[in-house]
Amino acid sequence: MNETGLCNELLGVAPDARFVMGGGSRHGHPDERLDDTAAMARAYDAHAGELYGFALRTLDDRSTAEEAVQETFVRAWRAASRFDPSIGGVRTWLFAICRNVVVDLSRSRVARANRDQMLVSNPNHDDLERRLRAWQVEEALGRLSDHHRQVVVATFYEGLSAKEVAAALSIPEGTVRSRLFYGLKALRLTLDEMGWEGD
Amino acid sequence: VTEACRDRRGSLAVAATGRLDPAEQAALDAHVDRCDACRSELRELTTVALAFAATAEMGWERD
Repeated sequence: MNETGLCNELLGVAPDARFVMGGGSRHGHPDERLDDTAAMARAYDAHAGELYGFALRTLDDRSTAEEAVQETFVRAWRAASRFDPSIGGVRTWLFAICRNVVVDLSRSRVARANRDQMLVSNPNHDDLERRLRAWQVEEALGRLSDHHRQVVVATFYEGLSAKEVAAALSIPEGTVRSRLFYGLKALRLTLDEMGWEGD
Repeated sequence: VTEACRDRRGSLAVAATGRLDPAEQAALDAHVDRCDACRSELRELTTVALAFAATAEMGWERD
């Protein structure tokens, strides 16, 4: 059974469910085994509430505490073959896992909070980037020769066609095209020098 | 880069701005498909042109 299926099964267990023991007992404690889904479900039934209380006290958030309990049982299921009842009981083992889960969730929550905080303090991060890019383009434009800049500005900021620029400046269209070509090439070089990442 | 490619530079620049008339664009496309140098030139020009177009759309105020 996959982990999702296991979780669904575990979460679908009725609080008063009772399971028939299979395979006899070890160490005189029939509950102290986790080698099949029925045993896991039984462990869930016996300890989930207490684990939830522990997680809730630590995390102070109901849905995160629920997540912690689910994650605890997922990890327990993955590691079930390593469970050794001679070292400690199921409860002790589950609490050890749950503590790790709670620590992990706290960490990711702190990381998330920090990230949210950064977004709150820099609401216009994208805008800032665009402005920086615009500033670089403006800088690069300022370094063009007048002839090249004239054509580039007319093309991009005034939206004129090469033919229209030619008419406006009273120069041949071929000259406009050539200036546009060298203007763009020069801009590319200048932007590259500025460490621009345009690709 | 052949002499013919050099003659196409103006067309490549205008193509990068997306303003080449359809007939000329079709002729240029046919050439660019076969010519690595012109294809790479067009790509470079288009990158710069797109950056400019984006900046222009922001309503950058020159002067």
